[in-house]
Amino acid sequence: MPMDERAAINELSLIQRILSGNRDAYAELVRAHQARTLRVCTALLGDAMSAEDAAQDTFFKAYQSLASFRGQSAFSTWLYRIAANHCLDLLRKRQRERTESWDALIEESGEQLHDLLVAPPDPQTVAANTELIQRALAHLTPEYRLILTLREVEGLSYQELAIALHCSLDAVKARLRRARQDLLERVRHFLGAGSV
Amino acid sequence: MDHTAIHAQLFAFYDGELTGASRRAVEDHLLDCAECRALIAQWKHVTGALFQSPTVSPSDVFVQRVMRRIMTPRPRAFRLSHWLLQGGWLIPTAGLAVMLFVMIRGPLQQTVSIESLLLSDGHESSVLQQVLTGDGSSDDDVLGLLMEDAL
Repeated sequence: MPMDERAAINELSLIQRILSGNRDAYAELVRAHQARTLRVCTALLGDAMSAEDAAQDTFFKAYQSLASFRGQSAFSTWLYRIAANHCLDLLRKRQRERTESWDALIEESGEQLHDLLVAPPDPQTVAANTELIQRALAHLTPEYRLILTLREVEGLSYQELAIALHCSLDAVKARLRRARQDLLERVRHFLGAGSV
Repeated sequence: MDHTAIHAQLFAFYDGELTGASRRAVEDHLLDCAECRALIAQWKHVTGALFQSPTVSPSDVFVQRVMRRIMTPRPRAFRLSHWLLQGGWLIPTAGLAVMLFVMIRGPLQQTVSIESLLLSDGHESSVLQQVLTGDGSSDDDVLGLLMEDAL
């Protein structure tokens, strides 16, 4: 039996134990998925404190609706869906509060953004520009940011994205294409000549 | 397939979601189309700069915090009908009634007791009279008068 399948069966029996009253067993599930959940929340929200809170909220919500998990997808994908919905709400709230325009960002930090985008991507440069990256990504719609993060950071397949975002495969394809075009359009003039 | 049709499939190709003939069609197209090659190269660059996987690790108390929230009983949602049927309104109402009673009844009781003392006991009334007429203006003065009287 493949490793993934065995892990899924173990998780299902663990979930059965939790649902039959052994609440302590949930700690095992949290331990197994905490790093990945925190990573996706951090990628989406940017700051570590909000991300940790959001990841904990995700596990709390997941526990509350654990009975609705039927095992039709991997538990991690189901968890992505809860984290995605929760972070989406937070991103929408932030978007309503955002005051900086894209033009203002370019005017203030265009040179820095240019350096970041033209240099060969490396983790050190990215780490040094975390705040700028967050400011730039905040200009994407929360839906675009979510699908791009789940695809580019987490590497979810289209099928997994469809489950996590509760939409069809065609919708995943279309949304991803539009999200990428939107981002490329914004940074096009940093990338040199050539239409996107 | 023409350029527009391939262009629409380009990101699916980049994501490794195409197989068979559609994958081969995009591969063939890319050999001849500089624009599509540039698009893929640009996207690789942008995603490499903006979508790096963050290096984070959960805090030491992450699991404990989640478990504590789970173990803490949730406060039940307030429902007016339940509240009325279960008589939850009785305790605050009774408390309010007692409070009102004490507020109204308290000063009356004090007046009656002073009056009754003045009328019933001539010995204590001299002290009280001094207190009431302002000779004893503080607690210490009243205590002094009472001790004086007792001696």
